[in-house]
Amino acid sequence: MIAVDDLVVSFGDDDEVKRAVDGIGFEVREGETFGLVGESGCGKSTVLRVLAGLNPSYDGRLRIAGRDIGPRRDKALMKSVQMVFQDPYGSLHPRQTVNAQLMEPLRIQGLDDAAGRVERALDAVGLGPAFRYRYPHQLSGGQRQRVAIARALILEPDVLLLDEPTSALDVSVQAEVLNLLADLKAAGGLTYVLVSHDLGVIAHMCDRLAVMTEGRIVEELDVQELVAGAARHPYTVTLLRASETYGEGGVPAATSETNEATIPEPRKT
Amino acid sequence: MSAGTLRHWLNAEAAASPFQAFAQRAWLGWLQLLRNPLGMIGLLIIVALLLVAAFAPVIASQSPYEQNLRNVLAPPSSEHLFGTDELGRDIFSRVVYGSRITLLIVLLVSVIVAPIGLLVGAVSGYLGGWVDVALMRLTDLFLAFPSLILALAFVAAMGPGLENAIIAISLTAWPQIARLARAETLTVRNSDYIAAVRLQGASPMRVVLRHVLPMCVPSVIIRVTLNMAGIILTAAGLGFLGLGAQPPSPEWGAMTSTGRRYMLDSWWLVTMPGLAILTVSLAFNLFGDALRDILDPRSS
Amino acid sequence: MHEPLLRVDGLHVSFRTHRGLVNAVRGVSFEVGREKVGIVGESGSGKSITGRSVMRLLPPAAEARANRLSFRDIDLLRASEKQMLDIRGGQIGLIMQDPKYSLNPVVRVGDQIAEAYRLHRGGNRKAARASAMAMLEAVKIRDPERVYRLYPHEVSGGMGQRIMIATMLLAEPDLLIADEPTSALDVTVRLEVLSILDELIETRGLGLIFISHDLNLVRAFCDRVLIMYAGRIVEELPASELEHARHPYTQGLLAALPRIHERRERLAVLQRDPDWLDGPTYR
Ligand SMILES: Nc1ncnc2c1ncn2[C@@H]1O[C@H](COP(=O)(O)OP(=O)(O)O)[C@@H](O)[C@H]1O
Ligand SMILES: Nc1ncnc2c1ncn2[C@@H]1O[C@H](COP(=O)(O)OP(=O)(O)O)[C@@H](O)[C@H]1O
Ligand SMILES: [Mg+2]
Ligand SMILES: [Mg+2]
Repeated sequence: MIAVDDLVVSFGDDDEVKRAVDGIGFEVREGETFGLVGESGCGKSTVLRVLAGLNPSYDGRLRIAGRDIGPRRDKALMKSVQMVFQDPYGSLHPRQTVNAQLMEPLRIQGLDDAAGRVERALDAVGLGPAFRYRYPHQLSGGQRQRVAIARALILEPDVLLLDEPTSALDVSVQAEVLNLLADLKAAGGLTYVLVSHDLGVIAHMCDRLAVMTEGRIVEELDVQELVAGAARHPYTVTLLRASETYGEGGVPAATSETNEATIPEPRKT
Repeated sequence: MSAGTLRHWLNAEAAASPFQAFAQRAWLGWLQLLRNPLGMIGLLIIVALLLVAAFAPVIASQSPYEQNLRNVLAPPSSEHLFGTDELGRDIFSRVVYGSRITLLIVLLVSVIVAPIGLLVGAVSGYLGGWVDVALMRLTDLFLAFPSLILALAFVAAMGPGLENAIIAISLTAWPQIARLARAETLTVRNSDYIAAVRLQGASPMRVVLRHVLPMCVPSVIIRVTLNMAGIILTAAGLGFLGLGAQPPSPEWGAMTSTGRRYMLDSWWLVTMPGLAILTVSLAFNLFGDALRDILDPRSS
Repeated sequence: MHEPLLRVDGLHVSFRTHRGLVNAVRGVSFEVGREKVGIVGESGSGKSITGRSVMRLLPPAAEARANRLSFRDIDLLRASEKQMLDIRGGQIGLIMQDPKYSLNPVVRVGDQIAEAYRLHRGGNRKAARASAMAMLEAVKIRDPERVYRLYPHEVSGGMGQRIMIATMLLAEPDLLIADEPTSALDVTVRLEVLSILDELIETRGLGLIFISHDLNLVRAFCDRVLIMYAGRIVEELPASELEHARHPYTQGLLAALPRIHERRERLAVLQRDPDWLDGPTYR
């Protein structure tokens, strides 16, 4: 479904170029859920933004649904790849009602039966018609994320990119959203790319995953392999151990900074 | 609908229609305004101004142009509330009719300035690159001149008169709005909700008009309202210099200007229109401050 | 067990809003000794407000009342503002989620630590600097000389949180309140910061209130756990007993967690029961 080859994304100007994504390649099969794991700042969101077509300045080859994709995309192609963002508080327009935000993609793409589609989309994510004319500030975090999912799915895309979709949510709400995503996928026709820093979520949702550090993929494996402890790269092993420590109780002995760069790159917003 | 059900409708947890959603927002804003006494005073004065302008023929005791050379420079009395001027015209009636001119200026300038400033600023901020550079150099050019000087130069070139004064004031007022709209745009253009509409295939123009602009509008409304005081004063200044409305028009600035010659022994000629200018510009200022508390997206 | 440092009995906090009174905390009672107490619950359940009530750092719209709110023998509800200044950061330290908001952006981090030291302990600059340096070492910062001279924006999230811990511990408080101290950190970094916090608390014998929405984290880190739901504590139990929680809310939270080694078709979804709002507290 998706094939990425030697993808490079750089930020900054001539005298200070930073490669946020440094030559990565991976393939996502149709109907699969592909996980992307790594510490913050390693370039996960940047990869998703390139896949979504939000970042046209990249080098490398990109194929989606068997077509070579250039930096410029037409409307039909935009429709087939949709994204759900991390922060439910920043991903909905604060001055538009839920209805307006769900109608907009339909108008842009010129789809018919807009009112019916909005109703069905809200229904599909478990929000009744009562939510239709609310503003985002009248919704909880979980409800916002449902609206964001409805907005992405209302265009009936082939690929859904999920950028840490539950990291801002409570576990109880996370469970609802993850179940919802699983149900929507079971209904057919969707391929997921899921970014998360929570290996529990990855293990629950994904078929395969890639582990990134500093703009590179250092390991790619099946979820069964991960769970069985077959990960080889030291970072994957550390990550797995850190995630497991939680469930089993006890905190390992104090150590000096290891995985953390002492001075991060200057942040640009 | 009774008052009780209306209140219920406005406070309902969930709106059932776009109109109800909008009405609920407006209702909340109104409640907030009620808790701001200074803002309410500003609003009341502005409403009073509107009423005075609308019912000027009823309120004024005589025509603003009617001269009475036998009763010139009469001090305020029960017959002439604000006294009479050097041609024996009733100053109260002139001030009342002058409110129409002031409102016209306020209305025209905001109708011209807000859209231009918004569009230039939002396009410049959203597109970035050379468009941004070009548009911002242009606004810098206008900003570099003090507004009264620029207006003076324009009126000097086009000839005095109310219309030219309005155009001149608009020319000097839009760059500030554009700057503001651009700054606001820069903060929203990288947000996820803008990314989401781009993903849906929206054209840049659609993104700017339908999604970026609504985020800039509140701060622009606040700024325009606050600027209104300055605009009224600039208009009065042009009138005062004889470059705005021309006699015998009862424009407040022009009235103070002509009254200046009689200031020493007939203080009311300057004071009455001057007080009108002061009151109205103060009202816009107070109301603008209150609007800032209500509309500012950062406060909610 | 030790004698309790903090006693909270029947704490209520309400907010005045345009829709009327919002009861954010509704009768919370607990004690904290020299131990690690976790407060867990979903967002909005009143965890932060409870923590802030202890510091008397509530927003102006809030109103707090309690049968008892005392630290040692100080009545925190009646203490003067001057007394509170001494308690805040002196005897009770507060660590918040994002160190970027707690550190002054234009002062070098080392100087901020030294300043905190002088504020609470007095002494000359040189002694303060030496203590700050020692504290940076105590939170396992490898190159304290260099880190001392950095500005807050130059340090990563994990480093910033180490610095916050260092700043708070310099005044040698007896009680530390940590409000989601590691929620913004990566999993691996999170563990490092926690182990530092753990070690310092153990060696100094402090009391800790650890506020978090992460049940797993609290289970691994704390001695005792308070579960909050809608402004009340619905269950209190030793962290090691969490697996045997009795309240359906706690059980629901545990069941909703995705696990690495236990693949399930669907995650259990919490079925909220209106009775929980005013139901019993399981202790
Ligand atoms: N628009 C941008 N301009 C400059 N640098 C950026 C931009 N977006 C991301 N970066 C940088 O690229 C790197 C990767 O960022 P990101 O993809 O957001 O990481 P992740 O999602 O894995 O946390 C970071 O170092 C970040 O600072
Ligand atoms: N400034 C405020 N005004 C009104 N209500 C507030 C305010 N701050 C907090 N609350 C209410 O208090 C409740 C508890 O908040 P908080 O303690 O921050 O929750 P959390 O458990 O996520 O830390 C929330 O449900 C919220 O409704
Ligand atoms: Mg990211
Ligand atoms: Mg909180």
